[in-house]
Amino acid sequence: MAGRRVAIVGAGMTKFVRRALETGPELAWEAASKALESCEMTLDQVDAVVLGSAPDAFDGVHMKVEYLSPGAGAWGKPTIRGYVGGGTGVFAAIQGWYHIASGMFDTALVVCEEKMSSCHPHPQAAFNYIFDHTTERPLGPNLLWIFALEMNAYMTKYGLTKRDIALVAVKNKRNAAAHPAAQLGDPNITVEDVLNSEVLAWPVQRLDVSPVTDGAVAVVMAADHVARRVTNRPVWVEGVGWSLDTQYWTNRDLSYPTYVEEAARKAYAMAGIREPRKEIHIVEPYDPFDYKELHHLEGLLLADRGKAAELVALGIANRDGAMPVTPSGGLLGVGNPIAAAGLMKVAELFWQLRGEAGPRQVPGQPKRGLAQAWGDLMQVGTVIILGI
Amino acid sequence: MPLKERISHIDEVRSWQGSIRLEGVYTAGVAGERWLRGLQEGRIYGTRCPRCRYTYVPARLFCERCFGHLDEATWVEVGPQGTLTSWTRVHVALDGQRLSPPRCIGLVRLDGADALLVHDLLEDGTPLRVGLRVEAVFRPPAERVGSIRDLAYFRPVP
Ligand SMILES: [Zn+2]
Repeated sequence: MAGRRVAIVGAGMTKFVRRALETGPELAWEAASKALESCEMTLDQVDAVVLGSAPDAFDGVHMKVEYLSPGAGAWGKPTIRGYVGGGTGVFAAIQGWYHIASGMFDTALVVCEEKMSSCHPHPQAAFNYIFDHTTERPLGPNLLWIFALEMNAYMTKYGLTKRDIALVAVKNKRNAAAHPAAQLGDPNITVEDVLNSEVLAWPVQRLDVSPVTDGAVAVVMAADHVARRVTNRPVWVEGVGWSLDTQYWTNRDLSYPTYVEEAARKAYAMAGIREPRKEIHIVEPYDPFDYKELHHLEGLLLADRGKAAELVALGIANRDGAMPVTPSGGLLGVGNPIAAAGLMKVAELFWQLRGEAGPRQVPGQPKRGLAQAWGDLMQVGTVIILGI
Repeated sequence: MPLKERISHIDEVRSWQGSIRLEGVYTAGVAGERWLRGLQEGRIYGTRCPRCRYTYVPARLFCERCFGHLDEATWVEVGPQGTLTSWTRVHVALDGQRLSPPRCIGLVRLDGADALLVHDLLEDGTPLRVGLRVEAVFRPPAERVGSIRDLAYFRPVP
């Protein structure tokens, strides 16, 4: 393991909602102050701040991390913005880790916020400007094109049906029903509900997709000697990894996320994990779309290619299954305030590994979990492995 | 790059025109909601952190210095008079046009506040200087909508 040992010692989050009254800094402050309270720390014990937030356009504020900084406790402190699009939430925790592992700081407050409701009428508008201005924007593209083309390629390559994939949405939205911060938890949702929802861009339907969400999440990280003083249950960072695929989304393998595998292999090597399917007890893969959870499980080497759907169909991925996947409820159920959604997955592992997840608690005292996010121009994989 | 290699006429090469157009709808927030209601009533509020002894204007929900919650008990009325901390006379608009007459902007520390508030400054012939006493002038009650513009401008105290 590179550098000093680092642990997560506290976590907090706001409710995830479609439109919050709170401003971005107010959301960030609520999550950050809850995280500090959870480990009985105060702002003057924080050495550095890592602030993660996805495109400025969502909050409608240019240089929005500077705008958010008061709510993240950044006043008078060394502060950095983590930004790898949707991969930001997990990457911010990785940045918190290397701030401390390097020996530069003993503690870091990691805060992720997104206020997507400011982008009116829909954040989709902001995504129109990620496409190539010369060869794609003149075609009037929509972000859903990428996901629909990717989902279709994935389904076709492995002979998967819409029903196979819809089971992921059902599992996650049901799991989210036990999450007090969830936007879209539904204990009664069925596969038929997903298959009968509005078609957005075939094969993507309304309930295959995570919602638009406002929210914030924060975690407190500390070096070994501080972590042991703050809590008797530190959750250690055992491995991290991240990797970038080509910027040209048309040049990627649409049926397999190579960038996730590269990130996962780095994290497994660092954590000394040789058999991830046996050694990872909880998985929180990034699930903005139901098929992406399957895609990512395969990239994480936790399922054979084309076989992740079987884990869901057989109940292995259920909260009480042999390999619980997204016990939080994920982006599909808890909600998707982009950067905050990734850090929510990290916070979920923190609560699960400490046995503090309440009605969401995975049975069997899990010892090790993995959270993964995906982003930039749909090309980055970010992975963190936590253990007790 | 040598000067002769630069593109001096964009129509000599293939190019496309595009603009980034985004609409935003912003909530005022928990503290902002109440602060704007105050302006509509012709009052300027701040929140005073009891630990840091610092009064925020506009009122904030939390203190960025100690991270404490600035609750109901911390709301205080400030102003309406204050001291001009700095001022400028703006002669050029955003689009490069000359402004006639120029527009005057003031930075004001309202009585009882620590934070400064920026707003229009009315020129009534009084020589402007740092340290000048100024006061808030509100729009007529019927015209107020709960916006920063309910405060019309600051003017020198007669
Ligand atoms: Zn204070």
